Amino acid sequence: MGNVRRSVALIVAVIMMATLLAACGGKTTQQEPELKVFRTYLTSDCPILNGHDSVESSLQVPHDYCSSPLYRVYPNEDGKGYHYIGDLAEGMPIQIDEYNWQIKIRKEAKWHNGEPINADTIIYSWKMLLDPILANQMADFLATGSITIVNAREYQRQGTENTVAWEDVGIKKIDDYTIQITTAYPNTAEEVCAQFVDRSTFPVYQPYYEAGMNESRTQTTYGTTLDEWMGCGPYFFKKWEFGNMHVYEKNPDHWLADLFHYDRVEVYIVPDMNARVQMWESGQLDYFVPDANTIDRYINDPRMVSYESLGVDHIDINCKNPTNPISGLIEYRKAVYHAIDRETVAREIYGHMKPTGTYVNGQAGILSPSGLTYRESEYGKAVTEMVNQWGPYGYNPELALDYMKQAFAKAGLSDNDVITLKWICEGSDVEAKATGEFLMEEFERIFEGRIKLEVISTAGMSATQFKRTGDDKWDLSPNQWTRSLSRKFPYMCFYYYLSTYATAPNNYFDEEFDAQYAVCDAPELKNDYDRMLQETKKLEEIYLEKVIHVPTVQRVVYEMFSDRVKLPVDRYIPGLGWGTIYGDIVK
Amino acid sequence: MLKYTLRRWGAMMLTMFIIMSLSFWIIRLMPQSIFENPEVAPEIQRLLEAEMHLDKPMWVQYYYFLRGIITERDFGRSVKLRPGMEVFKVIVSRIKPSMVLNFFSLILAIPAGIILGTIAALQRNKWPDNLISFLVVIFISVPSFVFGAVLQYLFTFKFPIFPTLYNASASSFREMFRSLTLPIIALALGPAATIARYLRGELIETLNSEFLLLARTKGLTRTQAVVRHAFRNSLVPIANTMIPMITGIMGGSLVIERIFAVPGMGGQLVESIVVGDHFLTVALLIWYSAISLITIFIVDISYGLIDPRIRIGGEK
Repeated sequence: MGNVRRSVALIVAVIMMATLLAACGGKTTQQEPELKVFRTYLTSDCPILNGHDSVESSLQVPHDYCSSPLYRVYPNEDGKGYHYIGDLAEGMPIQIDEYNWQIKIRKEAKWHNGEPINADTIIYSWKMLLDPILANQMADFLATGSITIVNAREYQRQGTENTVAWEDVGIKKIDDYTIQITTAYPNTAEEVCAQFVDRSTFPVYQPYYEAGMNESRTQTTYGTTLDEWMGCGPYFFKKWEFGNMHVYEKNPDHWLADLFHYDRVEVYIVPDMNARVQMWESGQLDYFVPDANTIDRYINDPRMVSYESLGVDHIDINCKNPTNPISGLIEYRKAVYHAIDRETVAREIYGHMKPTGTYVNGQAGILSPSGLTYRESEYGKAVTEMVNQWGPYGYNPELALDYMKQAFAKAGLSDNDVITLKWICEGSDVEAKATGEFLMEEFERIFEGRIKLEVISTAGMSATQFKRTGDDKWDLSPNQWTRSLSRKFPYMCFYYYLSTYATAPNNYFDEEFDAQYAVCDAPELKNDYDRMLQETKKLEEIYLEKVIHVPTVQRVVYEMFSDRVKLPVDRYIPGLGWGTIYGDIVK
Repeated sequence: MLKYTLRRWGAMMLTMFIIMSLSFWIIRLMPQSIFENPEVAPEIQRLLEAEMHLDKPMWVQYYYFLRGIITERDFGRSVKLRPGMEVFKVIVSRIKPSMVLNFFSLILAIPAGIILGTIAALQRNKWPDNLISFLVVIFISVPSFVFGAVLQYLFTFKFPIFPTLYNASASSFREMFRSLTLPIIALALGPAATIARYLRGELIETLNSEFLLLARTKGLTRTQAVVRHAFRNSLVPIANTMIPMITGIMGGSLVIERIFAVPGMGGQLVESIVVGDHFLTVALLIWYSAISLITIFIVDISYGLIDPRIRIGGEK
């Protein structure tokens, strides 16, 4: 027994010594100095690598580096714009007639294991993406976007009915290296290219995709691990330590290898903001996005770059709360709209953001042929002016009180009655929580004690997830949904608030609003931008009149790149960003 | 001893079975649908459900659930957090970092706690005792993640001795271990303080006991008396405090893992419940229950080893 104890003590002592020695020795990094390593981060890892079935935007990063789409966006030589270049595709799409486009596949295109990529690869990948039984979450990105492929959505959404055959879908193989796309409307070559830059349209490796398929063909394990995924891009996906880091290494044999300058890309998964700050400050990251709590520290840093994003934060209003007698009244919605001091919220709570009383975002329309954003157009300006007439960014406490009094009267409530509104937000969403706490005091003051606001944290659950639990006893909820297609078609930012959108984050729908959206969405308007802006103005006016929800803050993105990174463009370009993937490392 | 051990083992298996069954029924009866996606046609949802036997009555599902676990180690597939991946693989992939982190923090905490507790008891009411007691209060009352953040700031930024994040892809164990040093220390402080506090109290009581006086009278030195008699007696209650610590080895630490980007078990259960990944939730509940039960079993059995006067099973 004594020997056993002594042995255990010895082992423990050895382990502790080894711990100490191991911990104190060695170098912090072991990078070879001649390698050009770009070090960036994600705040959470990709759940899987199958681009067909994950809505996580983080998935675009490994796909952009390690896989190849048909087309890529590439910065112009002057650094002031971008154009499309063929990746798997050889050259731009060839127009056959008004609705048909042919795309040639590069003969040298191949997977990382050396197997060839051809028209069959693309057809298989897209057939699987649109497969009605697999029910992939990203199928819509191929079916309809900047172009609409004939019968693609109908095929994908038919379920088990077998009413639309694959042969009826506008995707055909012409020969081993040519595919043909048939669109529902006339389009430009750029619009065709734009459809195929999203990760969902990247090719999948058939042997692994099929090997991972279950018996009923409802699910595949493709991309759940690195061993069940295949890349074909300018970088090899060397390591995937889930939740910790990705390592990509340059593929010198890639047909576009000359366009990519980093030898190695390291993507750290860093959920904690403090850790990100320390990594940035100590030079371990080449890219960094400060948040509301850290922005003040960097706002005057010459490395800071900023631009208005697609995101407009807003407040969803539950119109069906059974415990709130005024929840269904338009006067109540208007009262809330006018009671938000957006300048304070945007500048003091969010930190260096832009207040807004309108919903169409600052990038909307920027990819239109004229490059004119909706907000800069006469139509957008007219709506902004209308809002500012109510008060700065729509804030007008007197008007808010007046509407609230009307709502109380309509609901048969007296001036002595008090309604408690429930503001629900995710606990970790600092800005949403702080906004709620700010409005607690504001509402009590503005509505002269009629309204009390209670801030409820959903404890790890997003507000959207909370709403899906079926609990309808909430009143206000901060939210932000973006739609990149609004860069080209401004009205599309309203898409998620139509009664036809199945997973709408709100429960307030309006027929007039739906009808006006349909007007904006008409095919004839796609080539008449001025008319589209005009109809978008009407849509936004209805949105404000009915208070579909309450816009508050136009998000401004602040980003920083280290001095060692040379970017290919000198300003942010919507649709391309900073062209980080084509950057270089300089001393 | 053998009979007692077998009886305890049997009781543990029965408890495990009850926990498994309760986990299954409670989670499956929750209102949230497993395949919640309004964009997926109902007949496709039915196909997906049929694939996982969810179209069958609950009792039949329960049968498939038990059969899958017992015969094929099949806990189902993750639906939301790692779509399509076997739940067993999801858990296995996350155990290693948590285990390494927590195992070494315990390896550090137990001897440190014992040493500090012993010094405090032997130097009662003197400055070493006061200092240790002060540190114990700090280490117990301040959450480990605060120490984690402070250590990270000091030793990765101000004095960059260690890497900021856990390096899972390190080329050697030594490199990987270096990256875990700070989270290990941060996690060890609390348990070390707990052990020190308990041990100090127990030792002080034992040092005043008559049998220790007898030991000294028989000619043993103070050190011999403490190590051979007092220390051994004091360890029995300490064993109970170690149960939750050992359970924590597999459990992971939500915030520390987040701060140092350790892809461990911390937070998995909460996340799986929040997003409605039912198969993963049930498997995680079973996992946590299993390690708790096994730990309790081991501690029960080890009482006899720590103190031979304890007759396991109450037999003479």
